[in-house]
Amino acid sequence: MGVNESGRDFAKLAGRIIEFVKTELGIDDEEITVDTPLVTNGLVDSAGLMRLAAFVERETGTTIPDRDVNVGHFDTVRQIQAYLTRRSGGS
Amino acid sequence: MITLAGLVAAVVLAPLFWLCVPAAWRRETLSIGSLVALACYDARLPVLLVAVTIGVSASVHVAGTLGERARLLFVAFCLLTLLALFVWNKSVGASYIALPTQSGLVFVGISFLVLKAAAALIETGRGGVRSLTFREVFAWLVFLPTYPNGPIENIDHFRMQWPRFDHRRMFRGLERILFGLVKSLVIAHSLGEWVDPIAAMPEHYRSGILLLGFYALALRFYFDLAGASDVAIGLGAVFGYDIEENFDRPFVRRNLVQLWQHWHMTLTGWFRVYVFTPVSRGLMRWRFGRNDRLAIAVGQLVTMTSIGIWHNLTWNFFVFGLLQGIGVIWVGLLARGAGRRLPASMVRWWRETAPGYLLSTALTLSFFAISCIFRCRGFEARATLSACGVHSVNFDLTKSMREVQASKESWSW
Repeated sequence: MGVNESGRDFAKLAGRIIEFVKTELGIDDEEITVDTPLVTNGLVDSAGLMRLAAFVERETGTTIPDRDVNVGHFDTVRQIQAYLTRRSGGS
Repeated sequence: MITLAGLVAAVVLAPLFWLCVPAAWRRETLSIGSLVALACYDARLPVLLVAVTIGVSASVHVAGTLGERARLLFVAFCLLTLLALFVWNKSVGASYIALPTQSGLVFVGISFLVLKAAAALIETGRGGVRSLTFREVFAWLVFLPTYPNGPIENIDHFRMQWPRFDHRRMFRGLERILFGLVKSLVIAHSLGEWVDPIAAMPEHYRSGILLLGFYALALRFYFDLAGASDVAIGLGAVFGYDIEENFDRPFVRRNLVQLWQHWHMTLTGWFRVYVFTPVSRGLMRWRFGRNDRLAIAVGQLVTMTSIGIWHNLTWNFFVFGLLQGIGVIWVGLLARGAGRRLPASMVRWWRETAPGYLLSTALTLSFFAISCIFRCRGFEARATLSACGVHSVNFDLTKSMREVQASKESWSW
């Protein structure tokens, strides 16, 4: 996969994740970017984190182990992307 | 088990520890010292702790040699053994008022010991822990400052450290111990002096006093536990360890989820990682699919009731946990949706103004305080009836007072 294609995929996924956070998790009163801390800022609690992980699994077809559903991997959209890249064996 | 005399002795011995013990022996010296101190309290505790240490380190070793399926079965068997120890200890404890002199069969601190050992085993089952030496497990399980009320140190966080002298950390630790003593021996004790007679005989008090009693009881639990955690963290620092934080101003949080995220954080963190996450995600995968809200609601109820009955295997603690679960579901899954139906100006007032913050914090504290009466068995029914003006019901006061006294003693150290 080329760099541009990979970048486009990330932008698409990031957009869908942000949309999910806004509409499904109800964080519609904050501006959310790929670098907005979702958990450490208190926007997403542990229930929201579970729903977010399930959404990412559905969107990407990836199975995420329970032990990886944590603030270290899911605090920002960029961290989610980095985690998914590592899991798929990317750099 | 830290008594006040033991705490003073530990602080007095700390300079000798740093001056006389070679760096390579410090961890083991602390382990042996912890074991001796625990033996002074209850001679059976060292035997139990060494047995659990052998069990955990041997289990991790054996599990590392097995295939995935066999490893999971083996770890499940080990966890059931721990569960049996926990249930036995709790059921014995319910019929013996053995605190604090330990004349009965009950072991103090087993609930925390079981959680720590279970965490190591679960991580082994998941493949996260591949090897643990006996000495690492031993140092982690017997570490006196965190015994018996936590914080529940994560084994990876603990074993990455080695006792290292740092005078700034040592003075911070001493300061933290002082804060803890003030919280526990002054504030919690004073609250206890006032609220204990009310808890023992609520029918003798008017509704307003009973209501204040609910708040005092919750504050007393907080100052007692947070004070003990401060002492544990401080004493850990005196002996060169950074212990995880356990309380972060839970009563100034504006909803119940935030309160629980900042109340006994190592305990709630344990249940979040090892109960809530696998139960919720397991249900999502198994049956609920896209209806993830239902899976999470069930996960939250299971988690909070588990926290309740982990404290004590009695119906009142079950109800305490259930109430917390319902409150957490309301905050996490329903309240935001309900807020959308309100006028935007009202929602802004609630979220962004100081009065809105104060009101939401007061409501959160009130819910928690009133539900805390279920932590004192016998108190809740009599207090509720008394608040409603019913004083003629014949209760077993002696039994209830004993239980309140036992509850009080279990929080003190």
